[in-house]
Amino acid sequence: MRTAWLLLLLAQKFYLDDPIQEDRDRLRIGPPVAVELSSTYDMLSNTFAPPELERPVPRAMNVNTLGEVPDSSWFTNRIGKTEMTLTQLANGPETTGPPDTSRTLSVIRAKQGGITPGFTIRDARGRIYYLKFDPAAHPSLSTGADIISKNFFHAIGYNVPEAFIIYVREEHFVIDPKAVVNLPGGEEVPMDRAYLEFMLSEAARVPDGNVRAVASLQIPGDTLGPFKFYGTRADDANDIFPHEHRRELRGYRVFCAWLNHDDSRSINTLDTYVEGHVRHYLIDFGSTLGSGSDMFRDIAPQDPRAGNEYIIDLKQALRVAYSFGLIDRPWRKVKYPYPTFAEAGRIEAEFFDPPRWRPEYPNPAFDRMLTDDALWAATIVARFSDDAIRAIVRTGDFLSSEAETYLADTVIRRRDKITRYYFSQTNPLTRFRSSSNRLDFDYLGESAAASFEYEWFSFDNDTEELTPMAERGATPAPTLSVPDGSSAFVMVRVRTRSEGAPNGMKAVDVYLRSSATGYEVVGIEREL
Amino acid sequence: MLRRMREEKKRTAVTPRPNRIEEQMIRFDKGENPTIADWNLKGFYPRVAWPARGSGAAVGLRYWQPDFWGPLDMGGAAFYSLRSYQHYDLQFGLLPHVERKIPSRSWKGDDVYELASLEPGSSRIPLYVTLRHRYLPQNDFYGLGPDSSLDERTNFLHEEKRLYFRTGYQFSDHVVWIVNGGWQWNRIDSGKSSRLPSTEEVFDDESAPGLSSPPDYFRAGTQFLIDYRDQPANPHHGFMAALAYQRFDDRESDAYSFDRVGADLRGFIPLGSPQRVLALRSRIHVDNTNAANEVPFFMQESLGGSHNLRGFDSFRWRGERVLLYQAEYRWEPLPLWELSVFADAGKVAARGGDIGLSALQTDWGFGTRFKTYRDVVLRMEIAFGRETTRYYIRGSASF
Repeated sequence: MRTAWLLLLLAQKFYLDDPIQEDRDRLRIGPPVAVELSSTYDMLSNTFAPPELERPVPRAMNVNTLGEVPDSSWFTNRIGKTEMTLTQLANGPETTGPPDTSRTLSVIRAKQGGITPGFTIRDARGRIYYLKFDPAAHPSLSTGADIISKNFFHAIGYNVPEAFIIYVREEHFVIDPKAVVNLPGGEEVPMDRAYLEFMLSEAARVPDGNVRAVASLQIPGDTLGPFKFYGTRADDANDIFPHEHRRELRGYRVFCAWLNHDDSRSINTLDTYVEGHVRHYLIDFGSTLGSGSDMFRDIAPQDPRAGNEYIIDLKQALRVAYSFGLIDRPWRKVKYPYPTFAEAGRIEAEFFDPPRWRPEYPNPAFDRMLTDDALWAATIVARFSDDAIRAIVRTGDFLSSEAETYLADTVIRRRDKITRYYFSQTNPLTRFRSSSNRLDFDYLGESAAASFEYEWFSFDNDTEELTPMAERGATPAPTLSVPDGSSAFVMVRVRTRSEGAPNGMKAVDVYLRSSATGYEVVGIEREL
Repeated sequence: MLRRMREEKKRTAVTPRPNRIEEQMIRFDKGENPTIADWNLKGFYPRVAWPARGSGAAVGLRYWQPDFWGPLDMGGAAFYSLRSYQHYDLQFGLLPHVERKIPSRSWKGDDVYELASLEPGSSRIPLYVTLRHRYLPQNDFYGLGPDSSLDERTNFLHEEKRLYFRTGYQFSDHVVWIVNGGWQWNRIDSGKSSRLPSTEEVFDDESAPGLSSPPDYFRAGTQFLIDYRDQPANPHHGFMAALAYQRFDDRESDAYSFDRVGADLRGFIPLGSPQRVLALRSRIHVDNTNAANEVPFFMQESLGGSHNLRGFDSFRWRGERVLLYQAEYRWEPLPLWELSVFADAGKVAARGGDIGLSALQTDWGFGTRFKTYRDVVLRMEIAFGRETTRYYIRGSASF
């Protein structure tokens, strides 16, 4: 009890280490057990019995006082905070390099799960890669999407596996004597050359006869299975923020909408145990952008439903039912330039509407995304310049430059829609920075800001009491003078007056702390 | 503070475990738990089926062993229904199937579309022998022709044994040609229904040819099928056309020999959207005999029941000429859930009778279906005819 009182007395809004830049979620723990996930159960439970939505939805819990996501085992700030060169963007997470195809590749396992055909190989240097191919009917479709999206999600800040596009022939492979194939029903049979040749015969080839594949490097550490978008992992002491309240998982919705990652569900995530703690990955981007699967789970250009409606959308179904089918899905009328740009698959930017975008089935973290979560994500999306997007799309290594251009243009247009929409939902003031007695910030709204209305307060960090100061007014430029005074903390409330952007009047409270070199921004709070 | 929370959780950490339902679904996803349809014990598959019109639901086993003897497959079925109908058969040879999966099948055995399930991956040359025994203890009979009366409803027992071969060639994924031949032995006896009079109590050999001395047959025929439906058992667009000819030779005398010609045309037209489909069907059967011959009453084609004139009882209309039109408007709230409104019209006629569009028997109704992408799994319908209202729960498409 005495400790509790002491803590209460010591309670402050801002601590000396705020804003924290790193969540040190690397407390050493014993190896957790690997858990499996049923994708069917995940779909049914999230569709028919989703976790009850809190009213009001609480704010994201793992953010620092600036509303940023600190670096952690889940997320590393990259393009959101630093400038990345086009080379860095195109390289993605790669440090190890592709498999050594100058020597034979040993096939050690058949691939299980997912929609793409493939198998596991070990190269001459002992590194293990998962190989996935495009079906013969759809060259470059899923391998291109896989590599491109992997590089986008890496630049955004997520952990993704290293992956490469490689070109191979039958003679590159030998079958490991211990390699097996799992038959339906669980029976294992030794893998033979016929199986290998069958898999390769089903794969798309480039004009020189080589088979094109994505080689994903085995993620380091022990595989623990997927993470869920709700709750925490009971045996991971570092996992203390319910996943649905993690900003990078809520904001993941914005990125997935942008890149049409409708397959953004638990089965495409992976936890690994490495160096005494759990690390969290996104995996398998084969069903993103214009690549997807058909009704038989074979790789195909994205189903027009994907990204527009849940697999089971009861509300929509009932509308169709009682209207005798006359109420049709508007997305059925969308015209895709497919197969003109076949390698890009089925993706477009005209009909795309960010808030209406849907994954395959409800995602508890997505459903809890608030405007501040979305603003965080959209701000990162906005950091991808046209050149950056083109550089990443180029990593898809399409045969057709027209398809590459179309895809890049589409991603650029989707980016613009994302930022336009989410910046209009709140007061889009970002990148607050102080120097000497000046506070600068960026205004990201599309409508021209007529003025920024501000109101200064002194702030007591212990009692959280605000006392109005004399300085208030409006300025046309995103620059404010910090008032002179002896307060250790001051706060300025800023609203943006702009025609056609009513949400700009939502308050953004910026807290500054006095330091030896002047004031520093220590906290940002946004009105929802 | 975060570190304290983590230390605390470390002290109380527990191993996460999926609940029992999820455990089973994990096994299902991995293919360790077979689907209900694939569950079997050494090739014996438990099933609920409707093996004959009027049989009611039957429980039993299907047997399926691909590559039973070299490339030759073995199949079979044994079913017993709520109304004491029995069905047993054994098939051996190159049976049409996809991969090693148990093939879908027609129970009737001589539908012109029986081999529509030949799919890519099937053998291009089916060749198999079937031995079949059916015990149908209470088939309804109302008399022949369009003037039969509901008040004259009777029932009879039909026991049938068949031995036949079937072969053909699949020219492409869409075109199949089949020939078949074999023997059929028939026994007709008093119906076993306790509610209805037996047929011989109301009808005689003149009004029900073959009643007292049912003929046995040697049968041979051919079928030609063009199938451009997108999914044969769950079509959204395309068409199917089947033509069949069958010769029935009376093995004792020639008195009951006849030829049958049949055609079955089906079209599926999306109405501006794949979620709205207009399904149309037209079927005709014509039996031809010489002037002295007759077609036994129990061999004549009939209308009524869950696949044709749905607002009428099974076997309500029998005749040497049968004409059927069906139209359904189907709409899908979800890809796996379909609703429908339908109308059926048809008629039967005696030899030389009018088979035109006048005096058609009609019905209408509505229903719902639950489906996979390939098949209708459950069909529930209500059909309203001028004589009765019929309710159906079936495990197959209407057409």
